[in-house]
Amino acid sequence: MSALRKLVALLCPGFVLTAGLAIPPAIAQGEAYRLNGADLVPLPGAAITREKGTMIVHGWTDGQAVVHRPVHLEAADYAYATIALEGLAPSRQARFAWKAREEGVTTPVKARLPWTGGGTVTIALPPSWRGTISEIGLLVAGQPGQALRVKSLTLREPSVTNWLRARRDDWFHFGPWQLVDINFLRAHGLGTAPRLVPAILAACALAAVFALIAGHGAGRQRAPLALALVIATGWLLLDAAWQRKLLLQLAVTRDTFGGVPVAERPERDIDAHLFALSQRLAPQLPVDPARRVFLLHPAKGHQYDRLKLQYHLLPRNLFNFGSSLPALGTFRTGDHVLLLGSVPNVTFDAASGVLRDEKRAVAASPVDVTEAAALYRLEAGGSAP
Amino acid sequence: MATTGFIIASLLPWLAGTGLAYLCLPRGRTGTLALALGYGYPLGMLLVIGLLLVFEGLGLTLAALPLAAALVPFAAGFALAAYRRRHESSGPDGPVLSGTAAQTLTALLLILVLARIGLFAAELLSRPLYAWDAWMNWAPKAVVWFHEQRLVPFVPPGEWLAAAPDSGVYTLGNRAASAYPPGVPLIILWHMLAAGSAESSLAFLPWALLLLAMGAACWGYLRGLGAAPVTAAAAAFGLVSLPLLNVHVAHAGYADLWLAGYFGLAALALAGWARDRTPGLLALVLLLALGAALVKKPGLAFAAVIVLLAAARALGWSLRTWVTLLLASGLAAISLFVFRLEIPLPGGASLGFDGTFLRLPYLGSLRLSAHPLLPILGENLFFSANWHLLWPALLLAIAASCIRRRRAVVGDALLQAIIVALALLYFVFGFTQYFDQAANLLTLSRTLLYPALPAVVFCLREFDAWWKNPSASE
Repeated sequence: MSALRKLVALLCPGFVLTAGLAIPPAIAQGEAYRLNGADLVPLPGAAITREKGTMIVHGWTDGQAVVHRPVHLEAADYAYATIALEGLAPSRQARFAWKAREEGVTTPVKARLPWTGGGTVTIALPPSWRGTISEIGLLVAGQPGQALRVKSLTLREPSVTNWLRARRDDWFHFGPWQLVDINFLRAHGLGTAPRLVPAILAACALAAVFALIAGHGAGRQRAPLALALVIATGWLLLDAAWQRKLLLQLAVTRDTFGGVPVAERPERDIDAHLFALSQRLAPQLPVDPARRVFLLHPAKGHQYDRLKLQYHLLPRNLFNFGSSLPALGTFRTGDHVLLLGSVPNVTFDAASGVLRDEKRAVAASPVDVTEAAALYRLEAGGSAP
Repeated sequence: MATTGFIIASLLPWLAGTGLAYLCLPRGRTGTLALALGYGYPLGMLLVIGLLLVFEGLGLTLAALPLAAALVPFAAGFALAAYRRRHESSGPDGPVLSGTAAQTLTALLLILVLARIGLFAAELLSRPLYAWDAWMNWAPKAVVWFHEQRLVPFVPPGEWLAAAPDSGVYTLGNRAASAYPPGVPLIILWHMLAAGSAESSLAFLPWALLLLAMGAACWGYLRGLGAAPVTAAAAAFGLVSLPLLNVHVAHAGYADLWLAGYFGLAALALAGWARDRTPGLLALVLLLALGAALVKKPGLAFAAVIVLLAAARALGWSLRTWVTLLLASGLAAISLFVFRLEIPLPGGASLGFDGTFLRLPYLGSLRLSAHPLLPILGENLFFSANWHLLWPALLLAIAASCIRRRRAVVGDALLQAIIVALALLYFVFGFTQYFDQAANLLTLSRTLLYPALPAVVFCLREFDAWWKNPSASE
């Protein structure tokens, strides 16, 4: 056997740990307290049916349903919760909820359930799981026409198996794209528990130590190659998790926008309300670079709504800063002021046809006024007394 | 129709750029075509930027057909010239790892590269523009220019207010963005014109194509050095699999990927020129550095890094001369700080320090003070999900290179580009007000994309060197 082969053989122990963490533990569970889905009770607003010990939620209020059960449990007895759900879409959120009573104070708490794609998820119960637990339940998101089957809710005691199960679900869970992803991808994993990248790095370091020890002597020249193999294996493991996320995301993206014409896709996006507003306002705003629109909003700095609305209103010529009315000389008759949301310092006096803020008053006429936005046309004479 | 227009708008400049790169690359190397394709896409886009600016300068309407027609001679000319020289550039095949296993692994890695890029293309074509800066800073200019068919001026908010109400100048919602370089909006505009719509998702597909080009360059560069196909494929896969780089493709519209492309490829060209001293490669270095300066404001600094490193080599000074020069520069910098000097420069710019702010020519002012950047940087490089294991691998590769090459490692152009770029970033985020943007995780990771391509290539090049002959020093 060549020195390189010996090194490769010795790399294996380093990855046993990683593989053990990645593969779903098949060891018998340390199960302590279990509720079947059918044991739960829906709060008003959720329509359900019970079937073979499970609960099927098929009616939602404001896209949400809550099912729960009064209990009397000591939090210290349990460290993990396993929830078995069927039919939860990756883009939908589910939360495990409980009421913790400590020193006479009852606190309602919610913990996000990572979407794993497996239908069953185990979470480590956070520090807020303490005292006496008087109620446990689930908050799940859904839409009309969607059904979600709650199969079971299990509380588990501390054990290595449960720890591994929770780590697996934490590391390999899926969350849809977020705007902040472009700046920084948090290591797979939530909270302060060990995360996937450092775990793989630690496994690589361990394997590298084995490689270097084994490479001492005749195989020393090959040590960098063994290290490269260690790095490559760790890289591929991380990339497998990343690739899975990308594929799930593509499915979510297609689920959201698939088959919709390009021009209508923004209606399904996170800023659909802004797109709808822009579509209503656009016909009343001329597409002419010489026609100015002053967009007023109370927020300072980069605020999503005001900036995204400006984008949707392109190619109109918008000034998108502050919440003050334009000064004389910066606009002409026929230009517009658009108040996005509530802009408390600006009022419109319908009797005199004047828009006012603390410093200025400008002659204007209302064009389209709703709670979401108010569009005014600036009139002849510009600044009013 | 939109798809046909897009294909022409992508292939025409790519063909022109590839032809140009092919003419610049040294002859007798394996992987030249892949490397030319890698350089070719950003070079082609540079040509597009130039063409749009020339059209605007001449007062011509920015319409797809005349622009494409103007590009045809470049594409045809460069491609034809390159084709005539194709035999000069096909070199002996580098050492190939024998065996079916190596070939299978190579094929698998290349399939993974293509599959990843295909996945991003599918994602991009399925959703509306998503990324924040894309719709705040970069796409709006393109949308306005598309509708006006001319490069309407964008000015800072103060100038917009001061301009006559009917002047027709625009301003963006981000105060600083109106003065950003025009490269990225022009690239978007080019594809909007080709697709015939400002709403087409096709306008952002170039982000995926750029990643493909960068992957091709990794392959071609390493094959040109004689690396085994499996090593070259691993480099392409390593780059294309980097998660944050992936996000910048899937959330297309930011300028960082373009700067990463131009700077990274310029660093590769620089390393090639340092090795071969082919004048064409120096031309590539300078063109790609120009591209870096045109896509993002910090690109000016990264272009300067490339130009300075190239100048250092061109001058051929000894290490002693360089140490003397560095000491003199250090002394000059200390004088600047101690005596609070201000040096006027052409164009109304100046270089100076007033006790708090360091004024840099053309780049703005920096408020100087030391900040605890190391923990944030460590978290980013080694524990975040941004990079897989790139930076630990780079540290190992540098260590291996030091062992293998001893002092000669100092003269490695690729490593110089990586180290100087990282040092520049460390200065900006560790000693200026931009620390805030490292602490709040807004900008630091994105800037680390710039040296990512050279870092991946350096790692695999080092691996290849050890694979072939671990005891040899260059």
